[in-house]
Amino acid sequence: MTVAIRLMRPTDLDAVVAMERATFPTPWTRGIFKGELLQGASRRWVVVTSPGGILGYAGTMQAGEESHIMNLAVRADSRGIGLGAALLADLMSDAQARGVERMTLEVRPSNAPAIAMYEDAGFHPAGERPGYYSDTGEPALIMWTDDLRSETMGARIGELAQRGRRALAERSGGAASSADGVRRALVLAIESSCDETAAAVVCGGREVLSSVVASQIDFHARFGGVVPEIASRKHTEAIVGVVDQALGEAGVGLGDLDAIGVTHGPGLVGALVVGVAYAKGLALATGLPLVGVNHLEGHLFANNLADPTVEPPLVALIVSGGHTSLVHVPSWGTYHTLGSTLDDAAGEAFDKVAKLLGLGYPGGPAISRLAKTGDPRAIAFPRAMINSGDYDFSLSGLKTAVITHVNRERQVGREIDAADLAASFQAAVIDVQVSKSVRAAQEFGVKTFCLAGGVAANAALRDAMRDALAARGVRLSVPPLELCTDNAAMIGAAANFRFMRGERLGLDAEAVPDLPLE
Amino acid sequence: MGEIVSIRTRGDAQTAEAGRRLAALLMPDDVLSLSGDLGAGKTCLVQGIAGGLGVKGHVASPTFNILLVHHGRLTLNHMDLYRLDRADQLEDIDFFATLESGGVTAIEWGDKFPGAMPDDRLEVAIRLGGRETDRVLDLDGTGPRSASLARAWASACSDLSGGEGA
Amino acid sequence: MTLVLALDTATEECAVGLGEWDGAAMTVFGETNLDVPRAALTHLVPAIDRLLKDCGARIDRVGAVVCGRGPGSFTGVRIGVATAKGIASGLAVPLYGVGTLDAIARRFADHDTLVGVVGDAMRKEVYPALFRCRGGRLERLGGYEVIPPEVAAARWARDAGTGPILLAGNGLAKYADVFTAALGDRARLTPRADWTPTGTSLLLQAYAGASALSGAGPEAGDGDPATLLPIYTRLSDAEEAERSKCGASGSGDPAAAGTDVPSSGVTGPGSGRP
Repeated sequence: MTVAIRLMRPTDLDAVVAMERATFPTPWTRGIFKGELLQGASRRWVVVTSPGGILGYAGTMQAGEESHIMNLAVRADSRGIGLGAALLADLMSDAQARGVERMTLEVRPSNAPAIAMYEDAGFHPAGERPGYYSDTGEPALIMWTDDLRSETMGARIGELAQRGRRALAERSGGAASSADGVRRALVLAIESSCDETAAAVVCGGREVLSSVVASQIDFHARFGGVVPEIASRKHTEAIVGVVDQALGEAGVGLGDLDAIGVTHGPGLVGALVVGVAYAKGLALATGLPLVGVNHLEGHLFANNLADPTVEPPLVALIVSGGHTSLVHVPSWGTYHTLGSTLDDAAGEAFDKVAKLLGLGYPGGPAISRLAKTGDPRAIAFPRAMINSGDYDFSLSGLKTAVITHVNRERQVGREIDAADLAASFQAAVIDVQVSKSVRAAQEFGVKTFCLAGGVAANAALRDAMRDALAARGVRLSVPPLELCTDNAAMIGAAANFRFMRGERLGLDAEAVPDLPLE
Repeated sequence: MGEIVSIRTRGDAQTAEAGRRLAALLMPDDVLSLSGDLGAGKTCLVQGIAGGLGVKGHVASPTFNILLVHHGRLTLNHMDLYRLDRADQLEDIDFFATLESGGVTAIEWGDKFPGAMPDDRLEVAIRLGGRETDRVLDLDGTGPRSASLARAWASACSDLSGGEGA
Repeated sequence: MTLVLALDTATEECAVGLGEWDGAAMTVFGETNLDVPRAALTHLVPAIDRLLKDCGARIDRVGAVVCGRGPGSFTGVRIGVATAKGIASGLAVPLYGVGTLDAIARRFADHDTLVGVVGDAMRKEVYPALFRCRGGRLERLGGYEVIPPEVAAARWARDAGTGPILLAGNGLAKYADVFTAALGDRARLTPRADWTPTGTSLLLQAYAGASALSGAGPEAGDGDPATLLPIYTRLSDAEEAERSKCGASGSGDPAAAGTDVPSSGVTGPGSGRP
């Protein structure tokens, strides 16, 4: 629950304009604010964000050695607690850092609380501008600071900043550091390894402040049709909006972050490059450390994220559209791939059989639903490689067996019971996966087994796994669905781990489409 | 060009072997467009090609990842257009630049977007043969290089399988 | 004064530039061009970092970013645009875009001539763009498209007046002959080193026609990093070929072409291939 100051963004304008109208008799228009945000380095516009929305905003314009505070407002229900001081401190510290010598502003002579705040901060009255306020004809009181580079002003600004920090911390409910006083890292994670563009803000590798995927954002509402439809793999279109939304929902600014994490492999190179390039640009601009994450490691961490008691040593089965891997994890960061698919990934096999049965996309859930009413023993499909003695998987033979069965039945004019077919196919897939998973858990003597990836959503697989493992005293961990499908929150958790170990990507970082887990 | 030659195989092992024999004949910029029903053996064929090129490690199906790149004597770009719905999505996966990146490209479901294929490519249509595990690979080289590649490959595989059946 | 950073990775080269805009003129502080085919992602950010250091500038002083939007190598364009979005978002400054072909033509803007830029579009096609340069001003004649080089060359020979045409662009590496043949003695092939954008030309192109301290030129966009996109050209060849193939086989639905998964109906006969 963070209350913080960050740079104002176009997406804040609705809230800012509303507050402006509620606060000032002669409010600035939306157009004026919009124009200000495009002005570049001479302007600094900041907002106070909170889970409850924007609590205040302020902005300066620099011209040479002088800086003019053009606007400052705090929401009516949040005044008197120091947020104004926090905003003022931000603007004055920034001006000081830029080498500004003096700051000025105009204020209504009738606004005693504001005048008091400015005087505390080192502003002095220095004349009037007659008829400045058009609604009442009031003059404006002009205020100036002394030289910001002087020791007195330095001290003033320092105190103001401290007051501001306290105000923010108090409003945040003290979330800045956890109970044990350990500083928890705030990581922005970016994921674009295949179809989805996603971003998330994760604190301490544990608390997901936001998790956004492009396929769930209404980009038309946001950009009014200027951006073309955000379809699958349209990462260039989606990346800025997704990251902005993740930061916005988390109520944090770039200045609050400790690191940027990005999936740099494995995946489709044309997709990976967008996330990696954007993250590198962001890192260069902000000076934030950049951490690279393996997408598969993200899937492993999804379990820990969902349940912090899930810790190595463990064995995990990552099953998705593009992956089927059995991994031994003796400790975080040490991974041994015990086996993987020789041909078709599990998710892919489900999708192809679903298409065969005319079940639509995505196929996994469709097969799973249909299978509930079918007999898994109706057709004896092969359990490929169940006795191979290793941990590899092969599903193309099963796929072929299903197709052959369908063709044969059609040839002799027999009607196919789709539910039985779905159930029997599913059973064949699950039997092999459960068998190898249980054997791996036993061979490596682990008490925890993790299921990860999109196919982990399959209830029959989960149930069969849970029963078989429980019978051998092994606990099964499965994250909730939104952490099983591709997402950035799991990347954030893995990024936190890598960050805390001091691992960094350099400015020359690349996308690695075949990045190994080891 | 015009003439279609065929290779017959019996079982996955022979389909893969046919792939291995093709690997020896491949040169940079060769493009193979593979078509055939689910389960026909497109990925199996590419696994054989990869083996023949000395690629180490699993050569899995690229259905989800769309493009998997393997390194051997030549770089093998293994593509699968199964999940693409429209031709304009080919740019999203940098399809055209991949074809011209100096490696060999094997495209499963290449027949989905015939207009996007290069002029000179080897089309391999895999269909079922007489018995369940029989396959017939119909080769069509659409340009001079691919036509000559088709002839050489068919000749190198003439001893595979029985000759009877469809 | 606005410090402006420009970059483009739409060709096989990484072009980076740093300049200062004072409301009326652009002063270029430095630029870099790296020949890094298919390796733009590795080299772009280090090149930017190095250029800033060489110019004694700091990234947090940059007040605007300019990026080349293509057309060109699709992955190359994406790398440049995505990097630029990251930098502009990180600094909370505007991001302006320029056409890569326009930035190339900008290099010849001081000549009084036609300039034909030919970008390599793969698939035996090019991205052609014709410009008129006069007294430092650049005017693009026509839109962006992707067509065979012979078609582009014939069009220029037929429709582009009678004077000389300067030729530039990386499409000439493959198709210079096609253009010199069609244009005869009107063709003026520029040196290979001039076939790509430079940091300078990106900066000048973005601010061409700009007259205020705030904002770039009228064609550079509104500065919102979220809505800046690559220049996409229609894949006319692929779509048309697909459509004509469908027409030939009798199926009216382009989506049905080539989808030869067996029929979905398990209770009836399969439909096989269309």
